[in-house]
Amino acid sequence: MPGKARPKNVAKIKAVASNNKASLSRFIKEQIGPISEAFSQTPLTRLRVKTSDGAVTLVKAKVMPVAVQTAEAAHPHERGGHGARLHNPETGRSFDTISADVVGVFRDLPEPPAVGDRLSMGQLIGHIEALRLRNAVRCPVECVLIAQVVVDGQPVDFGETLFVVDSGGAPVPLEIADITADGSLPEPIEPPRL
Amino acid sequence: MFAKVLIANRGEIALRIIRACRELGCRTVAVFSEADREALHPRMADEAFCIGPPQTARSYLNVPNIISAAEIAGVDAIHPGYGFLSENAQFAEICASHGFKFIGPSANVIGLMGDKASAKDRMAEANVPCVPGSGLVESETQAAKFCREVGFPVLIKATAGGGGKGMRIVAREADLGAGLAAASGEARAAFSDGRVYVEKLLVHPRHIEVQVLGDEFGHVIQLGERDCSIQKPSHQKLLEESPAPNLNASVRADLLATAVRAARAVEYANAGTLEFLLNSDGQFYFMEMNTRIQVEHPVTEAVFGIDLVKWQVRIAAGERLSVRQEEVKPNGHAIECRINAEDWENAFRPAAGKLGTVLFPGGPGIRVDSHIYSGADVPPFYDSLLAKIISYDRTRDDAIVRMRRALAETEIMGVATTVPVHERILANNSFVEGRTYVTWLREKILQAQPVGASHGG
Repeated sequence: MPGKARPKNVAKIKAVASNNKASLSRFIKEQIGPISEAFSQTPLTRLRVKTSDGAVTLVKAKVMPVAVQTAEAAHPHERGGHGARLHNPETGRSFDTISADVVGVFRDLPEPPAVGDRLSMGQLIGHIEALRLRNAVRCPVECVLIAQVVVDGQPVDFGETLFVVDSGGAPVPLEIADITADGSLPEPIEPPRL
Repeated sequence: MFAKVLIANRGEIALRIIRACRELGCRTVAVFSEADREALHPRMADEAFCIGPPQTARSYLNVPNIISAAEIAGVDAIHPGYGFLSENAQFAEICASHGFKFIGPSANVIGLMGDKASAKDRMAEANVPCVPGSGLVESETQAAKFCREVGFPVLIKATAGGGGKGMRIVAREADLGAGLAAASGEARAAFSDGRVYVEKLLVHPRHIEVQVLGDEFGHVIQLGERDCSIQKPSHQKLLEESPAPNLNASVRADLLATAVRAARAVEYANAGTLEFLLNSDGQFYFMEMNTRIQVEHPVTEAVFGIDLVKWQVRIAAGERLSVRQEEVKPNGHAIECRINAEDWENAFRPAAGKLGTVLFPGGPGIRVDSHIYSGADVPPFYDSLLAKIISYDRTRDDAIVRMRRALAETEIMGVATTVPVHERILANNSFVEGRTYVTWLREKILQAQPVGASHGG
């Protein structure tokens, strides 16, 4: 039931306290992988885990495209728990994240980017609805999509990770707004009630 | 009663509100900045939302993110605490327009009392005494006439004023002309505006405020006064107590009745505080009204045995204030010491950093409202209040002894705190005798402290 009363145990790869990308990717590699393996075997749909390095909530997507795989070929998972898709112990690749800059409800595009897609800087990759405004989520850097961490309709906090991407080492601008200076203002979803 | 309340604040007051909500059976939603991830308020609340980066403008003052969190969580009401958005009339309106009850007075009253000029006009209409002012000085003759009416000394102030520029104290009529010329010249140089007015100068006034509680059906009561005369040079309160010591019974009765009259005049609903300056001649003057819960509310709660924050929530939920004025009687004496992360020997410079051991006092008659714990971070972005220690006992003397004992038990390692300055205040004879005023701390404690004494060994 998106949009209402979110239980406390929801939804986030909290950027590790330091916000340090290296430690975040280590966290994803070393902790989320094993956790999500175990999670995918359970009937649970949501699981929140907190460790000294950070906290993560894994949410099973309703539908995950089966065919999508990263170039490094993450293990396919029968149940499609998307947390598992982040796990790739064989490679030492570090991943970047694209996170929410407003509090709201995440919305997929009609045709959301698929895992493995090459994303260009400024590309629209989703929306966050807040206060009847649709805020564009744009890709801040040239990259390959590794995983979408949130599902359509999921409430997101400020700073919550939406996508994990591989930018090949290119720095990801902190402020997505910096690259959307072309004037992508939030569009109203419906006329505001006053 | 509300099912769910969002608390748009942080620190000890967020915890205080969560506690009140929990006792009322409301679920709670905390909002926090990235600097407060490990803070207690997101941990204690039933739900929590990160609303922005550490800077207050982008988190605790970020209205869109706060309202969005309220919508996602599906709350009924928003409690603003103190500071941040608590006296922001526009925020109160936005809450209402999104269907959230703002726990506080109406946006109209917040706006009216938030503007000093409109507040004083409204209070004057309700026969509440304000510091007599001359209005714009047109001529020396007009100013002299005003001064003779209110008596010297007087204070000349620039209408464009600020930071003490264009201010002059004049003690006798012979000096008035020169004072006006000097103040006006200084104001013209500083603000390109030489207009000045004259106010009666209060001599060693005390800061005395009255707690009021009103419901949405026009029932208003007062819950006694608090003496908040112990203030830092920046006018921030440091130690508060209730009742005010050495307050003449008829002055007290007049003050309390005036506060109720003032609150009724604006149809005040919810908890509020009217601040007055009490002159050494026994006359008091309205200063401003705080349309929110105050930091020092626990001393009133101790003496009256009433939970002010719970009443705030109940009143906002449309309950009638079931307490009648005759039923509330002050009992005993309470003192609050604000323990701030501040270096009091260096102009109360705020300190931040990681805390070491934190040990709070306990035992009979001690209440501690705090959000810190051993090992917690004190972020540099916010108010420096770490804890409020409240002592309560049957008499003021006993409450002082109890507070000294509590401060001696208090251990906060890692940052400088105001504990030592409180110990000096409580050891000072004129404090013990209840002879304090708003500049007392500066004159009797801070200036009595030889410069560099702490470094001499």
